[in-house]
This record gives sequence, C-alpha cells and structure tokens, in this order.
Amino acid sequence: MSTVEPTRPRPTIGVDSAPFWEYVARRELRVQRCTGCGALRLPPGPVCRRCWSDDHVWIPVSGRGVLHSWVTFHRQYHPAFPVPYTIGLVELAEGPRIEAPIVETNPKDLAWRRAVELVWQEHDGFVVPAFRIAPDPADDTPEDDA
Amino acid sequence: MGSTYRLADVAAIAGVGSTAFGRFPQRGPIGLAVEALKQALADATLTRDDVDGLVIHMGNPVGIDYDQFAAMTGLRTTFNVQLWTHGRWIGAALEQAAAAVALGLARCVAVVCAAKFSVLSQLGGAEDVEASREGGGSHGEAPHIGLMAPGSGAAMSARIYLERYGVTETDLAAVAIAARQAARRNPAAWRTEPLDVDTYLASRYIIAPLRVHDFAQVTDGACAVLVMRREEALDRTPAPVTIRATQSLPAGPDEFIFGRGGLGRGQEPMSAHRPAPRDLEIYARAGVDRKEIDALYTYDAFSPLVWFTLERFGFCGEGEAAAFCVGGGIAMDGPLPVNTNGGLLAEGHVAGWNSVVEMVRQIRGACGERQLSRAENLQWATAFGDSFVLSARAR
Repeated sequence: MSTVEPTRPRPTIGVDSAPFWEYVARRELRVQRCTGCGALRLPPGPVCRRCWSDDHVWIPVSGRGVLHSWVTFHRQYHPAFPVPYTIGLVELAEGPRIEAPIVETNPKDLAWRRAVELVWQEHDGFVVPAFRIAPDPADDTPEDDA
Repeated sequence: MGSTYRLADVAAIAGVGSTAFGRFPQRGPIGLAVEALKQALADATLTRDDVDGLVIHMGNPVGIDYDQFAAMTGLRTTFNVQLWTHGRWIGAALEQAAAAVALGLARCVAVVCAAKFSVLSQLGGAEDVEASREGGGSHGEAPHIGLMAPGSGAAMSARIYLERYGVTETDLAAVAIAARQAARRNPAAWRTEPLDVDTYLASRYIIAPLRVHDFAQVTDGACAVLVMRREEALDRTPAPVTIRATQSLPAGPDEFIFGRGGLGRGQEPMSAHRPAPRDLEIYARAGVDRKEIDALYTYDAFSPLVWFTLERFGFCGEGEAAAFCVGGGIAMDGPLPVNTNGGLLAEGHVAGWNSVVEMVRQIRGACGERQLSRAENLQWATAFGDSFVLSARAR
C-alpha cells in the first residue's frame, strides 16, 4: 500500500503571466505598470485596459494590503487541499487585488479591510504568494487573556 | 436610449416544455432534451418539421451539442447557435432566438437546455478545466491555491456584502427559505423538505459564508422554449406569451459574474451602488415600469445572487436587499415574489430555464396552488445584468 501525496494543480502559465510567475519563483511579488498611463494591473495582460498601451514594466509591490474579502472552504474539492482553508481577496496597498491563501492567522482575527502582509508558501516545489493578518501595532502586548 | 432597439413585442414564446427534475442515472442529456422539446411542440400544437432554428445553452459534458442533437433527433435546422456551457446565457439565448425570428433568419427557434449535472462528481474541483484559464476562471477561480468551484465566487462577494452592510448569515437564510417555501407548493420541485432559520444555521458550510442551502440543487433535467414571430404565434398556436423586450449579457472590467457593481470585485474600486442606466433600459424597451413587474425570476444558483439582482435592477436600495428578503419581500405573498417555482435553489437546476418555463405558465394562469394573483408582467433579471420581460399582451 503505497501512499502518494496528492499534488496541487499548477496555474496555467502562458505568455502574459510567465513573468509574474518567474518573479514569484524568486519570491518577488511584482505587478505590471503601464508605461502609457501609469496604471498598475493584475492579472497580467498584454494591454492596458485603461489607455490601451501595449508597453509596461514589472514593478515590485510592498506586500502590504487589506483583506477585502475571504472565503473558507469546508468542502474538500481537491485531495491536495485539506479543509478547512481560507482564501482571501487582498487589496494591495498599491491598488490591484489578488486572490491568495490566508495563512498563519487565527480565524478569529479575520476581519474586513484588516491589514495583511505577504508571506510565501511553497508546495511541491512551486511558490505562491500568500498573506497573513498583520500584527496590530497598537496591540504588541502579549496575549494575557488566554 | 432605447431608440435603436427593434425587438419590442416582435417575438413570442409559443410553447414550453420541461422534464422532471431529479437524479436520472438511466437518462442522458439528449433524451432529456428531446422529451422537453416534444412537450413544447405539443404545447404549441406544432411539429418537429416546424422547427428550423436551434439555440443551445449548455453543451457537452452536462448538456447537448447542437450538431449531435439535431442529427440524433432528425431535426433539420438552418439557424444554429450554441452558447458557452455556463448558466449566464439565459437572456442572451432568448434574445438570439427573438432576433433570429425578427430578422427572418428562422421561423421557429427551439431554445433547448439540458443539464445533467449528475455526470459531474461535483461542480468544481480537478475536473473543472475552464477554472484553470490563464488569469483566472470565469467565476474568479484559481485552482492552484484551492480557490475552486463557481460557488467560491459568490461566497467571496457575499462576504463583502455581509461586512460592508452589517448583514448577518441569519439574514441570508431568508433567501433559501423563500425558495423552499415556493417549492413546497410546486409538485415538480426536487427539494421540498421544510426549511427554517434554525435548520439553515445548523446546516454545514460548503464555502463559508455559504452553507449547503445557499447552493443550487445538483439535478438532471431539460427545458425547451419555442420562439416565433408574435404574429405567427398568434395565428398558429393556442397560448403565446409576448417577449416584451430583452437585454443581453454585459461584459467589461466592472462586471464580475457573481456580484453587482460597487462591491469591489475584480479590479474595479469599491464604490457606492446605484442601478446603471444600461441595466434599467429593459423597462424602457419593454414599455413596462419597474412598479408594474408582478414577479421576478432570477438565476439563483447561489442565494446571495438574489440580493445582487434586487439591487442591480433597483428593486432595493444599496445594502437593503437582505432586509427586504427577511421582511418577506420575495415571498409568494410579498410585494415582489421571486422564483415562484422554487428556482435553482429548490425546484432544480436547468440553468434557469426551469424558471423561464414557470414564467410562461404563470402568465397563462396554469400554476395551480402557487398561481400568482396577478401575473401580467414578469421579469427575468440576473446579478450579471441580462433581462427580459414577458407578458400576455403587447403594447
């Protein structure tokens, strides 16, 4: 009886998103900035949806953001994703939104528009950006009500 | 702005048919579809030879493809359209059929939807090839992080709505409960056990904040709707229902399939919401005021979509749809009955066509115990912005 760990599906990486994933593999989170109008964009694409410029550069983002939404899977849809797990819709400080796992976070701390920070996850040799609830600067005293 | 629109009162639904809704391991989608089509033809007192157009919504693997369906059933159709296998095309499909008969591309278009969802082990997961589209699936899926299943897109929008407007999961229960209460008066409905708030809150989460009762029934079934020019339908068929007007499916950076504008889905900024002129154009096209709509029919594959629809089309103000539902607003005896058949949440999931068939039967006064006291103008409208108005009469 051999047990093979189920592997997670990989994203479909084509010409538009390949640079994004190459940066991610180096643990850098970058988004496209339109050379024509300066708009930042995610997901990666060949043209600026605002000004239609074809030109862009990849700029690093801070990794800070807020939790604009989140869902918690209780039904297991895939063997490589044991439940429960939480996926967030993170609004980066620079503006674009990204869907990413919310990790290293007590479910009680999930709150709308709460600050999150970037962490990296690696599974089966593939790196993905993830986020955790950022420590509250006003609350750096140890938990004494536990 | 409706001045260029030329489809008002031109076309009619001449006949409708539907199979039972349930789990039918011994029946394939083509068999289901042909049963619905036979029933629609009998309803319209037409024959197979009258059908010269096909609009297919939902192809393989859950539905039927136009070529195989025509070849296997002996249809000879000269106008054929097949739409992407997603629920969102109801309004667009009916509009295609109406446009086809209006322009003389066909005389009698059968709009056919077969949905054998039981062929899939689940909706979402590793089998869902479309979800892995580069840049994200059409409901926001990202399978590489476990963001799978269309319902995750609705759940993500629902969370924003709950937090932004101070609405609770208890409030959400009202949508599924209203659907169930409608279904309990519908002998064709698949899910009819009683549902109350306690039962709802005790049920399991699938993708929180959505519970099992917030998800459509996974059923097998088929529906067929025959579209002809209204004049010809009046001449040849016993009970045509007028397609007063249609409004197609919008797209663009501020459209997310399972949420209305302003929520901050996709990449657009979060903003205050007010119905867009483009969405309200259906009333001008149809010559019917929103206040004259006797009941609303909508794509309720996930219960929050009912909230988004009510606000998108201005039946409720921003953030007010939840309270409207809790107060009985969408109940059978409320000010705006919604999905009097039980919808996808309770009657069955034929991608919304079962609710379109219900609209026609309500207008004809053929709905027995659940017959609306007034069913003059019925509107189809969805969270994604397509719409049409059906009526017994014309302008």
